[in-house]
Amino acid sequence: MRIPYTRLQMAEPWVAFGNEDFEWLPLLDVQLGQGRTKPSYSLEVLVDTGSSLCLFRADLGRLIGLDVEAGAMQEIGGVTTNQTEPAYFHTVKLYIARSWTVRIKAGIVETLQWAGILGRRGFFDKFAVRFDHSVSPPMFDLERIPQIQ
Amino acid sequence: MEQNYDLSEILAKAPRNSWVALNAEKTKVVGTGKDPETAVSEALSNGAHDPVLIWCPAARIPLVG
Repeated sequence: MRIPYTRLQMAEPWVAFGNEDFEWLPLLDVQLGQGRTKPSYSLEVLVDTGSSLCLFRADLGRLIGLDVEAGAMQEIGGVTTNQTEPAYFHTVKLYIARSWTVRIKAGIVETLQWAGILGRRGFFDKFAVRFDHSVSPPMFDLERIPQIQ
Repeated sequence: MEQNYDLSEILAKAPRNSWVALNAEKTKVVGTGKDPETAVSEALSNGAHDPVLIWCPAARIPLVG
């Protein structure tokens, strides 16, 4: 499956890159669910090779019926500050691009800047992704990795 | 269904720190809210039965990591 990047407006122009005020980002339509509950509506989430984990906002977790703080807790953080935030881990169902359903362990956090982030544990171990910036707009190819028995 | 992948103008005036619901083609904002339920409820009342939700942060800045 080949998917175009999505163009979003940035708060400030890229001063080092010709003052462009937008960025193309690899966003993917997913739905989130758990157990037998109805999945959420479609969500635009970021495909992020730099993230160790899959993360979703806590309000989405509560929307699908999770008792967020009941999950195993681990502090997580980014690369530019020492700030950390608790993530509560739950097994959820991820419906990807209306084509695949996978069960993953995702961290649920209160202040994520995206509806969700798809990272290495849970997403990149299930899907092979090729990012192509040689075209405009950039595209990414998504392919399910066959399960090894 | 053809989808729009340039959300820069559509989201330019969307409220910050909010959920925004787009129509299925992602060509217009059909609901907003401080929680996803409110944004979806507004979308449904606007006749958009298959909305797509996106979180609009206070400011979208370059990402690292």
